[in-house]
Amino acid sequence: MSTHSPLARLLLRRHITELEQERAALEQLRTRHEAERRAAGAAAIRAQEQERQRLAQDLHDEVNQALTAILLRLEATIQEAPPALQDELRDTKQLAAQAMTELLRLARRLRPAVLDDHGLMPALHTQVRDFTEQTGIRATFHPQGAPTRLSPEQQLAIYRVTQEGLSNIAQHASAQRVKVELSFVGRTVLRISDDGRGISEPRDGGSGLGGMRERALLAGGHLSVWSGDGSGTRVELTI
Amino acid sequence: MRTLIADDHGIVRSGIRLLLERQPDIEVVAEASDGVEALELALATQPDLCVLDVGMPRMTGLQATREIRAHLPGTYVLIVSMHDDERYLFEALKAGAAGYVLKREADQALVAALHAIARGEPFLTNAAERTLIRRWMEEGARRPDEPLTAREQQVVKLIAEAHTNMQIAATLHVSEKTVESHRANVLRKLGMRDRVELVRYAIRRGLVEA
Repeated sequence: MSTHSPLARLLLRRHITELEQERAALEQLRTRHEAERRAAGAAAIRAQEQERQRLAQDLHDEVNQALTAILLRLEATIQEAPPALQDELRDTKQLAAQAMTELLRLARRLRPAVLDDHGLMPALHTQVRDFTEQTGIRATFHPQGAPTRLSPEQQLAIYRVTQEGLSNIAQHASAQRVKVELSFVGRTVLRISDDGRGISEPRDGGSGLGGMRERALLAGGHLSVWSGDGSGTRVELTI
Repeated sequence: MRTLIADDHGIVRSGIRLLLERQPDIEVVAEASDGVEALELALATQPDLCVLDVGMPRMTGLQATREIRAHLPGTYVLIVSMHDDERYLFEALKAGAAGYVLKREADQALVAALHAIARGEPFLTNAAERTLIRRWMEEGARRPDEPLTAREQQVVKLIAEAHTNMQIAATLHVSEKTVESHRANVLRKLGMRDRVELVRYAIRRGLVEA
C-alpha cells in the first residue's frame, strides 16, 4: 500500500467501501428474500390446512349424512320389499356403505377429527394403529411425557410429519417393523425408524422429505434423516 | 317402545324415523334437531329410548345424554356417531349411554341396538366391542392397580401357602435375605402388618384358593 500515491489510496479505500456497502445491501436483500419465502411457505401450508379442514368437515357434515340417510331408507325399504327385490336392494345398500367407508377414510386423512377433539397423542395412537391395519407393517407408538408446551401448529406439524413419514415407508421402504417415538423430555423429538431398505440419497427431496423439512422449519424445528443402503431409515423431527 | 330421535340433519332424522316406524314395537314420539330440544322433549314425553347424534348445536348428544340420564333414570340412550375412534366411544359410555352405533352401520345395527338396550343390556357393534376389549387388555398388561411386581406376587403366593423363607428361597433360586426383603417390601407397599393380612390379600387377588 505504501507504494501507492495518497490519491490512489483514497480511491482504493472509497472503492472498498462501496463494495462493502453493496455486499451488505445484497445480504439484506437475501435475508429479506429468505424471510419472504418462508412466510409464503407458511401461508401456503396454513391455507392448505384450512382447505383440508373445510373439505373434511363438508364430507362429514353433508355427504356422509346423506349416505347415512340412504342406508337407513334402503334398509326400511328392504323390510317391506317383495323377496325378488330384496337381494338387489341389499347390493345397492352395500355399495352405499362402501362409499361411506371410503369417504370417512378420506376425511380422516384430510383432517382427523380426533386431533381437534382429543389432541395429538390419541390422534397419533390411532394413526399408527391404522397404518398397521392398512399396510400389514407392524408399527408401534412409544410416547414419553405430555405435549404441554406445544402450539397447535407444532402439534399439527408432528402429526403431518408422522403421516408423511409413514406414507413414505408404506410406499418405498419394504419395511417389516416401524417404530414411532415421541419424547417431550427436554426437547420435543419425534423419531420414525424402520427396518426397510433405506433411501440411497437421504438429501434428495423426492419422497416428500422436502415437504417434511418445510413443516419442521415452520414449526421452529428441524428435520434430520439417517439412512444407508439396507439399514433402514430414521427420520427425526426436533422442536 | 316410545322413542325420541335427535339429529341436526333432517335427512338423517327422517331416515331413522322411516326405519323405526317399520318396526311393530317401536313408536317415534318426538324429533329434536339439537341437544337442548332433545332434553326438553325428553322431559315432556318421557320416552323409553332416545337415539342421539353426537355432534349437535347448542348441546352435544353427550351433554344431552348426561342430562337425560340424570332426570329420567328409566330412559335409555343410544348414541349414533360418525366417529369410529375409540375416544368417542369411551366418552359416550362415560356420559351414560347404553349403546353406541356408527352411522355407517346404523342400517344393520340400529334396530337391534334399541331392542337390546330396552332389555337393559348394553349394546356395542362388533368393531366397538373389539376396540373396548383391546383397550382393556392393553391396560390389563400394565395393571396400574397392581402395586406388586411379578416377583413379589410369587413371594406372596408362597407365603400365603405357608412356605418358610428357606423354602421360598429354594423355590425361587434366591437367597433367604432376598426373600426377607421382598416380604418387607410387600408389607410396606400394601400397608399390612402380618401374614394373616397377606393371606387375605392373596385370596382376594386370586393368587391362592380360599
